[in-house]
Amino acid sequence: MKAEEFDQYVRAQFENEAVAPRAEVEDAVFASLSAATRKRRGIAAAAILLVATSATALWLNAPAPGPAQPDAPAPTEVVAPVAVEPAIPAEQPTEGMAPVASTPSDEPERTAPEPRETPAMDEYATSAPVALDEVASRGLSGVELQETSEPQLQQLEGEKWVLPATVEVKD
Amino acid sequence: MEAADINLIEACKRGKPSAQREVYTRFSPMMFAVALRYTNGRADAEDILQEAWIKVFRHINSFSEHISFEGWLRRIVVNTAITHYRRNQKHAFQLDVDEVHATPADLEAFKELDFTREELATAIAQLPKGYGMVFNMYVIEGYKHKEIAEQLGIDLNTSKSQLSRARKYLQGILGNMSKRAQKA
Repeated sequence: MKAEEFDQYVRAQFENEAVAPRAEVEDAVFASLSAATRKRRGIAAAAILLVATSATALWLNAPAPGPAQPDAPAPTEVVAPVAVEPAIPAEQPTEGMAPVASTPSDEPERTAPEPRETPAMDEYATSAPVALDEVASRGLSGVELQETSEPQLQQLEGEKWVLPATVEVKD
Repeated sequence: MEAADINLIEACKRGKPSAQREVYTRFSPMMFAVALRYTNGRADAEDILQEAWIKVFRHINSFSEHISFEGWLRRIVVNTAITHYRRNQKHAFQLDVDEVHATPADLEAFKELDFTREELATAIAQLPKGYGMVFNMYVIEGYKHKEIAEQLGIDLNTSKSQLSRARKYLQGILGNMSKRAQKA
């Protein structure tokens, strides 16, 4: 007898074969399944609780955002030169403009300057008149003071001066 | 696959207990019959069935409707049976190779294919374990030798030779059964 013929005969005998298992097997299967499901749900619930607790704790312990925080995140900032732009202090963020929501790369021009910069600006604002008085009181030698205070274009011996120009002080 | 079956499987994927029960009731007899062919007793077959069903419901989301659900279930049962077999008899495969000898007289007596399913099942159950695994997988489940070799961790030629020997051995058992039936 050929092997294929024999195989085909055996295969045909076992087609649609069915033997009912005991009812206890069904109970065991679904007991295992429900135990596994309970375990999975327990783990999921514990994870959710942990995350919620952590988030609440972080939220409660988080310091209020504002310029007074020394540990506030200082994103890459484009700090305008304080001495040149005295208008900057007016742009300091109010308390509601904490840089929490935006990333440093989002809007760098809106980022608040570091709070430590603020005293320097104030210092400059108060000390600037003193420095100007000192300069004004110094004697200037060899430099002719002009009567006019406004800058002007000057035409001297074919040379064209364009303001701002460099002034050399001769002995 | 029918739309009702697809809906039932989708419900199982969502973890609906009533759908799981229905699938179990419908397919368990088929799966248990497969498990029985790979074991020596009902107790082992029940262990395999239980393990297989837990795998089915755990991995049912990976089942695609493009393939036969019954075929997918059968594969899970066979794989579980193989795992069970390997766990219990790590070295039985090598021992099986030389221990089987169907006598020429048995083979001579085997001339007609006139056996019931129960007689065939009894004869297959008498095959040495390794032979029985290869025979069941190749002849009844339709696995290829390459798959069998991979699943059982044996050489491709070992799978082929074991199948050939299993056939002869089975024919010998069936011939012997015929002789006894004629005497009776």
